[in-house]
Amino acid sequence: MRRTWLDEFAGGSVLVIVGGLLFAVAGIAATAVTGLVQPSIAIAFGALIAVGELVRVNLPGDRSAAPLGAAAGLAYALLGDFRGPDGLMRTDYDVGQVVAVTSVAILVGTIPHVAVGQAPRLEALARRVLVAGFAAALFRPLYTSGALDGLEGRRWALPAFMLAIVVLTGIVDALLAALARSGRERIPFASAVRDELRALLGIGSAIGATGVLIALAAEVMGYWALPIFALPLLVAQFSFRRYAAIRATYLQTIRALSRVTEVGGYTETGHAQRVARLSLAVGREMGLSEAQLVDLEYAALMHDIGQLSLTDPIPGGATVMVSSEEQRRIAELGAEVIRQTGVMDRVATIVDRQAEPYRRPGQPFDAGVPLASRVIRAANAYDDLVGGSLDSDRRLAALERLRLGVAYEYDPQVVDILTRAVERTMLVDA
Amino acid sequence: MPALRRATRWYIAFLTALASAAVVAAAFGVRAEPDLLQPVLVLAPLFILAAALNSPLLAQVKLSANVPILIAAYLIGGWEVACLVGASTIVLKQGEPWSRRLFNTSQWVLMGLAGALVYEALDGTAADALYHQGFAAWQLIPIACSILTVIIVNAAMMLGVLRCQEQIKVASVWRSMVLTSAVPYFAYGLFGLLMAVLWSIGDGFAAALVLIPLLVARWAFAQYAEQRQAYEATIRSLVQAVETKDHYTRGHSERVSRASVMIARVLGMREDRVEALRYAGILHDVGKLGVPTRVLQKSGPLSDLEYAAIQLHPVRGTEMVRGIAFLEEAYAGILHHHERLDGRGYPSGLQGKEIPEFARVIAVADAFDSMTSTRSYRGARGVPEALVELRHCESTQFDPRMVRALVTALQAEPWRTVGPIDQGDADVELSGGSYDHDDPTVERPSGHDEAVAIQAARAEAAEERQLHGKDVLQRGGWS
Repeated sequence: MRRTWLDEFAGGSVLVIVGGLLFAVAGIAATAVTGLVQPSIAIAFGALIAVGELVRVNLPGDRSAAPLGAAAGLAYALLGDFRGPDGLMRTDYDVGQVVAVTSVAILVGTIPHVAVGQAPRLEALARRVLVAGFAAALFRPLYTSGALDGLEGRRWALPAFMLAIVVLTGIVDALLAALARSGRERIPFASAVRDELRALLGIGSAIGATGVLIALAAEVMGYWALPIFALPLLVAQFSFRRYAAIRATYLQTIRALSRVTEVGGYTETGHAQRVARLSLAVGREMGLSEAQLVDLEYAALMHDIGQLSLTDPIPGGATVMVSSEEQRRIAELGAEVIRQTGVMDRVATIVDRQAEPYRRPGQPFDAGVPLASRVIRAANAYDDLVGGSLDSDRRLAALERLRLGVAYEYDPQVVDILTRAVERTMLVDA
Repeated sequence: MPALRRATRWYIAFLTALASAAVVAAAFGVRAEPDLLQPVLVLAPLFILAAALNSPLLAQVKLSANVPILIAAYLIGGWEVACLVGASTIVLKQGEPWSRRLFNTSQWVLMGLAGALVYEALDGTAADALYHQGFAAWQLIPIACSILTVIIVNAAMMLGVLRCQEQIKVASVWRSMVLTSAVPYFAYGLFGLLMAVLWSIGDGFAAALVLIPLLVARWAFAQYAEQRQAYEATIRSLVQAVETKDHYTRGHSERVSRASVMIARVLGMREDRVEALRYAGILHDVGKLGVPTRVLQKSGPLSDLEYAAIQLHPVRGTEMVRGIAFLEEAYAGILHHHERLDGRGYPSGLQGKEIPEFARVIAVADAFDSMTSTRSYRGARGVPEALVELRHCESTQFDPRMVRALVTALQAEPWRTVGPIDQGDADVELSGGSYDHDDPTVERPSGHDEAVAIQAARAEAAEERQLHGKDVLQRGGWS
């Protein structure tokens, strides 16, 4: 499904974007009235945020992130005493200024991206503004009012307090991201939250730690703290980028190799890709985790690879038309090929069990069949019947046939969700 | 681990004695000055944790979290703390032989000790003073000198083992060892300094935070390395599954990939191009899937249509791999690997330098492997014989530069004809003999209208070029 800019505003995204916009406008307005306090610190942190925005990356799971920018924003929010050229001083800017500096810096850092035609993901930008504002709201009033001065006695207390704020901020960020994602990709909110929290553990902990470190170290190192602590985060960011790149290549390669059955004349053109897309749509809505979705996509792409071992292609490659023994044999052969890789055992199991009916007459429901296998079974049957056709009568007939099979052949819940997914695209195509 | 020579054992015993003496002295030092106990109790567990997270996958990347902690240890608490923190690694690697554990631990202790002594001799500022005076650039000088000492001590101890155990000439290794570790170690020194600064602000709690970005970076890199290995394994075995359609070519893609890389290295190609070429080699024949098994395994002359079907395989292959983004240059290699210098190849009939470099490399590797493998109509040829044949066909069919490079590469590294994964299905070898389209010594089937076949293939190739950039699958896809 192609993402249009309208999708940006689907569901929770619109809340996040409007919220970020309101924050930014309010912060800039308030700062315009009071004037910029301690402008050189504001410019230094703003510059780091802008640079971070400039070198933002797409992390695994298609997450647009600006680790350095986010860390610099957090650090600006949590900045306490600062060692400037004239010695140690207290910072006394307010929450509004943090939001204003962050928003303006993000805008500045985004301009080059827009100039080369890479549209920013508005929701991700808005989230970064909101998150910096949130952390500032927890820290700045307490710090400027002097309430935190009591912590001076125990040296670990201030870092621990900052860390607590950062953890809380991270959780808020994950919730916002999940809100936007569940609207955009039709994932149940709970599983989106789980995915976002898991993703947060990786780069998120590095971002949070760097934010606290810059804020703390500025007390001794002054401006030096900014570039020096940015370095390790950049290294981490670089590693993540390579990781995301190899994951993308992996998927593209499996996609390419999944076409061997088409090129070999065993299946119809585009079959594997369509089954994968439909399976993913269903799997997302059923709340599979990100890792499970990756396995599901791989398995769906390669679900027919067992046909390569057949001497004569099945007419049209439609496994829905052949006997269940034959279906099972193809599934087993395919699983065997996939198992040979030595690294895709879960995928092999999914492919292996795709030929299992939902349940057999007179027998209890067999929970041993992975959900992914049941999804692929239904998606495959649907695509075997419809193919690339956009004809709505044909689609409805195929859905009808799936629905007739829910007693034994197909998982009723899967068929329900698949039906809704197909009907949605019919509205779009019509 | 091979048996240790007597000299090596003495050497390790000597280092262990030295380190033990230092550790005992340090323990007394900490007893006399209880303030030093806190840094030891915080840093030693971090040190053990960082060492435990090391994995072989990470060996290639210079992202140690241990060296920064060791440097931070003496910046914060002096030589006593550094020695005790270094000694803490003795609890690790329980499964390994004692000699290795003792050596590794002594190495950490002595590195810490040497660095600390140099730092103190040069009047390096202690961490608490840093806090009160603020940070100044001149403080970097004692730190830099102490890091240099750590590098030298580390290299010297490693070379000692090499010298005792394998009697390697020390001078040759020495330079490269010091040079390669210099940059990462100075970066570690920076981290160590940061830990010390943070310690002065917020104790061990804040200092430990410095390690988080570093550990996250290592974790991400490990994920990357693991994913990459999985990727390699997957692409290999899937291509092998494809090859089972055509029994004689089992392991062929793998070997073509290997030969292509050998050629590329002699030509001095950039590493990322070598990588792309490696994948191009593995994938160069995936388009053969589009050729009916009947044709691939047919013995005897092929009809025009059958020949046309074979000629289409580079086009089909390119069409398949088009979606793999990083392979840009590899597409051309796959599409044109059956072109000939004289323009009589397929699918496009390109001539000479019009043929992309990757394709010229793969063409040579492809023909070479085909000739040195067994075929139904002939046994495998020897490597020298195959090279003579390649020479014979150079400048009509192959780029002489690539042939020369292959010859050079084979002088340095002998050719292994057996593929890395030998499945050894003896019965398979008995199946019908097939025409090998890669074998330059096989006469082309004498179709009376070869032109028709080539025409068809060229038309497809032209169409393929038009589709460039668009995923063929997008048409009529499920949306």
